[in-house]
Amino acid sequence: MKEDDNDIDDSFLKGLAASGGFSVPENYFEKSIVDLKGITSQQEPLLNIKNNEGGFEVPESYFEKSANQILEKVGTKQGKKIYLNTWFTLTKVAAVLLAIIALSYVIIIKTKQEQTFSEQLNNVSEEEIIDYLAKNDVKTEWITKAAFSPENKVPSTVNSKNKEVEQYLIDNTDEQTLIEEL
Amino acid sequence: MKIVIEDNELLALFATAGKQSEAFGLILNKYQKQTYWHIRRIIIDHDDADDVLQNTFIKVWENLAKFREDSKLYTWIYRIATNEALQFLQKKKQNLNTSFDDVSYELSEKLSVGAYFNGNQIELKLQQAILTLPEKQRIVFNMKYYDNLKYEEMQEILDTSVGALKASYHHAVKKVEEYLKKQLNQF
Repeated sequence: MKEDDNDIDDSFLKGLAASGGFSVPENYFEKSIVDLKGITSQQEPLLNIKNNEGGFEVPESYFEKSANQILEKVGTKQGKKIYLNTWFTLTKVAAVLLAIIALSYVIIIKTKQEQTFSEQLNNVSEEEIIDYLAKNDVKTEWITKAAFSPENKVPSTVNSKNKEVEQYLIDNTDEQTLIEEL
Repeated sequence: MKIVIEDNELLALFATAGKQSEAFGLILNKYQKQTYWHIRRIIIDHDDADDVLQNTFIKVWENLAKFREDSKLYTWIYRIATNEALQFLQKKKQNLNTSFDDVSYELSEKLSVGAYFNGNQIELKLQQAILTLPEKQRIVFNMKYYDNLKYEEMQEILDTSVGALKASYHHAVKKVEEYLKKQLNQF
């Protein structure tokens, strides 16, 4: 034991025999482990039988066939593994990815533009619109027509329940009132 | 003349892009037979040993890229083979709902029937004697006696201390000796 282990002074043990006083018969270790001689009446050394495969045998050409089977099985697994490594497949995967990225880019940009236009329009005051229309000689008929055209129906805030109100407004509002409102 | 390629060269080849199959073929060629005999001595039956051998090398293929060379290549393959063989016997015990003794008896019977066994009477008796040993002792005995492996190598394969392996082999030899004495004195 080391001296620093729990500060135990075991120096008195040094110099004692490692066997601890025990002894074994002469040549015990040489005999006991591997010497199987002398078991049979003919004193046949049994250890000599290990120069073959212990009596086992295999069918003819077994190792060649077995190796081929293993390589075949491994080849199938390899086929799965390298499937994505083929140039053709990689090109296809890359093309699909590029298409997805391009499509996503277009959708995002378009949405952004629409949002920007809508936000900009909201920031324009009513007076500015009237001034713009007056300066650019926009005829009132055009505005009326545009206001009542099917494409410019009241926005989606009007749901089906308000259809009657919408119809009422259309029927009971004359052109002059609308122009004045603008 | 047969050229023996060193393990580190085989592993380097396996690490080269596009050379994996070639490297694996060479590893298979180098270690297939000794791995088979190692498995066969545990499993006894040829067809079962063949199944276990194939599973062993498929696992070698699947895990070779992860092999870190902390141990030698063949001790790593032996380790996989030993685990596969022991798992096979374990499943066999579970499927048959039998004990170790029953499986040993069944294996011993297979030897007597002689399917792919061409040994003489002494070889047969020796195999039957080995089959009386507990599984671990049986593997230790086979590795030392037939494969001439060093205890340090066996330590890597079986994850058991050298002292325990020496004791195991010592007990195994004693038991085999006693069994053979009894059997051969009957003649």
